Amino acid sequence: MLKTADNFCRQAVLYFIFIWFGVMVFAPNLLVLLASFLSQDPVWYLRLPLNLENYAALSDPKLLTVILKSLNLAVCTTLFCLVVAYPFTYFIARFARERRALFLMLIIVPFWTNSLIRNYALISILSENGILNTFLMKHGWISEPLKVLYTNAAVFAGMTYTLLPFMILPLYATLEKLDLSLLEAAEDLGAGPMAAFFRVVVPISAPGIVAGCIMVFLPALTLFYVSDILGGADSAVLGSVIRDQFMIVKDWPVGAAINVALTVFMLFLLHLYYKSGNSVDQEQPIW
Amino acid sequence: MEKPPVPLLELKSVTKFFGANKVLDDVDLTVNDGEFLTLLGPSGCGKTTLLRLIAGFERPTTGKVIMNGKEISYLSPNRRAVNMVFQQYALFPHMTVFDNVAFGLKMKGVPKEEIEVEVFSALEKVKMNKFSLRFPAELSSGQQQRVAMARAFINNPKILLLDEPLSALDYRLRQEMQIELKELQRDLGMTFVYVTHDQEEALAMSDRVAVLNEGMIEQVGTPIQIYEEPKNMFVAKFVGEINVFDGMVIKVGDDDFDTIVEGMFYRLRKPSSFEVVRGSKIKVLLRPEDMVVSKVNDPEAEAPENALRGVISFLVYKGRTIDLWIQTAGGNMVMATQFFNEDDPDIIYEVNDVVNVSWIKDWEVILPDA
Repeated sequence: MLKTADNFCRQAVLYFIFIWFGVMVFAPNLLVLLASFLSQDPVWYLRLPLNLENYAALSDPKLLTVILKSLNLAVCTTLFCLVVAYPFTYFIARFARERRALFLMLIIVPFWTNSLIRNYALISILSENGILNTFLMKHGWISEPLKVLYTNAAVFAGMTYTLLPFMILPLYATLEKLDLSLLEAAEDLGAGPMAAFFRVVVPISAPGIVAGCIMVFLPALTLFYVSDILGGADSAVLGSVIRDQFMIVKDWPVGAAINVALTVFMLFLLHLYYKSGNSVDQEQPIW
Repeated sequence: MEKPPVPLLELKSVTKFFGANKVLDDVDLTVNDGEFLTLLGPSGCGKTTLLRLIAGFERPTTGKVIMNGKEISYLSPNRRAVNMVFQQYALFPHMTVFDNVAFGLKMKGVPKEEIEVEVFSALEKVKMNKFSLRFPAELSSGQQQRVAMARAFINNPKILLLDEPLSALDYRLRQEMQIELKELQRDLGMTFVYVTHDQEEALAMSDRVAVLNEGMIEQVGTPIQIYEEPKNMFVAKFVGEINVFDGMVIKVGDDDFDTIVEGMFYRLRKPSSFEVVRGSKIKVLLRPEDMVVSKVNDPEAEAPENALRGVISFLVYKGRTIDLWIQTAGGNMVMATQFFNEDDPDIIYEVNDVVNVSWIKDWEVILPDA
C-alpha cells in the first residue's frame, strides 16, 4: 500500500515537472522558433508564408554594430563580476558559519528592492551633481564634474551592480564545499599559493565559474532597462534591439530571429565548455 | 639495532596553543633516520597537531622543530622535505590518478618524460598502474589510499607523514594494508611518522611508538617496551588490556620486596624504574595472557600460595584463546586470556566455575600509586 502511494507521488511529481517544462519552457521557445520563420503582419503580428529573410536581417550592419557593442559590454561585465566576486566569495566561504550567513544576507537583501529602483538610485550617485562628483570635487581630485551618467560607463556600472549577486551565489555554492585539505595537499606537494590556487581551487570551482558567467552574461546582453535608465543614445544593448523589434517596429519575426540566434550562441558556448573536458564532475551535459 | 640510530628530526620543548587551549605541552621527540615511528593516543591527545607541526601546517607557539640540524619551525610546507598522506586522502578530484601522483614532480619542474617513468614506477609499487587514467571518484577507498601513498612518497621525502591513513578502511583491508605499508616502508627505506589511535596498528607496524595523552608524551619505546614495560598507568591502560591490583609494601629487601595484594602475601622483584618504600602503596599490573588459571575441584580447600581464589563470571570464546573474567574474593574483576593447552585439551571453563588465579612470576609491572 505504502509503496504504491509512494510510487504514485513520484510519478505525480515527475509528470508535474514534465508538464511544467513543456508549458513553461519547451512550448514558448518552440513558438519563438516558429515565429522567427514567419512573416510580419501589421495587425496579427505574424502570418504565413514561412521565410528565412528574418535571419538575413541579422546581417544588417547597424544591428551588427549594436550586437558587437552589446557583446563587448556583456563580456566586460561578466569578467569584471568574476574578478570582483571570486576573491570576495572565496573569503566569505572561509568565514565561520554564522558570519557567512550574515554576509550572504547582505548580498541578498538588496534583491528585495526592485532592480529598476536600484538603478534609478544609481542616477543620484552618477549624475553631474550627484554623490560621486560632489565627493571627488570636495576633495579637489577633479575640478570639473565627470560626465558618467548617460554613458557606457554608467551602463557598465549598472550592469555590474545589478548582476554581481548572480556571480557570487553560484561561486559560493562551489567554493563553500571546497575541501581545505586539498589546499594543504597541494602545498605539501610543493605548490606555492598561486600554483595551488590555479591548479586546484580554480579547476574545482569551474562549475561555479561557468554557472556564474552564464547567469551574468545572458542578462548583460539583454537587460535593456539598465541601458535605458543609465545609458546614452548609443548605449543600446541587444535586449533593447529585441524589445524594439517587438514593441516599436512590431516586427515580431525579426525579433524572434535575433532571440533564436542568441540562444543558439549560448548553447554553442556551453557546448564548447563541456567539450573542453573541464567539467570536474564528469557529468554529461543535460541536453 | 645493528646501527646506532641517527636523529633526523627533533622536536625541542614544543608547545602549541589554539587560542587558550593548550594542545601540545613541552613535547620533546626525536625521529631517527629510517625508522617507523608511530604517534599513538586517544582522539584529542595532540598527535595530529604534532604531525601537522612536522608537515608545516602549524607553527609551534614555543619550542623548535629541527631537521638535519637546521631549524624549520617556520618553514612553509611546500619547502619542507616531508610529505603527508591525509586522513581522507585529499586526492585532487579533477585530476586522474596519474596527474595526482605527478603533481609533486610537476611542481618541482621535473621533465615530462622523467615524470612519466617515475609515476608508473610509484604506481607499480602500490599496484595501481592499471588505474592511472581513472579519477579518484572511480576508485574504492582502499585504492584511493594507495594512490595517496604513491602521490606522497614519489617526491622522495626525508619523512613520510601518515595521518590515520587506514581508518577509513574496513577491518580486513586494514589488516592487509598494515602489512603492505610496513613492507613498503622497508622497500623505500623511508622514515615514516604514523598517527593512529589504534594500539594494535601501532604495535604491529612500528619500530618505535610514542604514546601521547593530553598534549604530553607519556612514553616512547619499542612496541615490546610499550606493551611489556609501561611507564605509567595511562600507557598501561591505553595499550592493550591490563589487570590492576592495589598493593601495600610491607618489607623491602635487596632485590625484592614483600607486599600484600588482595590480602595475600607476595614477594616480588624490585622495579628498576622507582624506589619502593616500606608502607607505600603500589600498583601491580598484569596482562591477561600472563595470568595463570587453574580449576578448583574442592572449593573448601585453601588457595595455594601466590594465588587468588575467584569465580568465573563471564567468558568469551575466541577460537585460539578464551577470555575469562574472574570475580576474585577481594572484589576485583580479573581478565585472563588462556591459550588452549595441547596437553590438556579437556579443560573446559564454564561460568560459575571456581578457579585459582595467579601469574607467571616476574612478569608483573610495578608502578607507584599516584
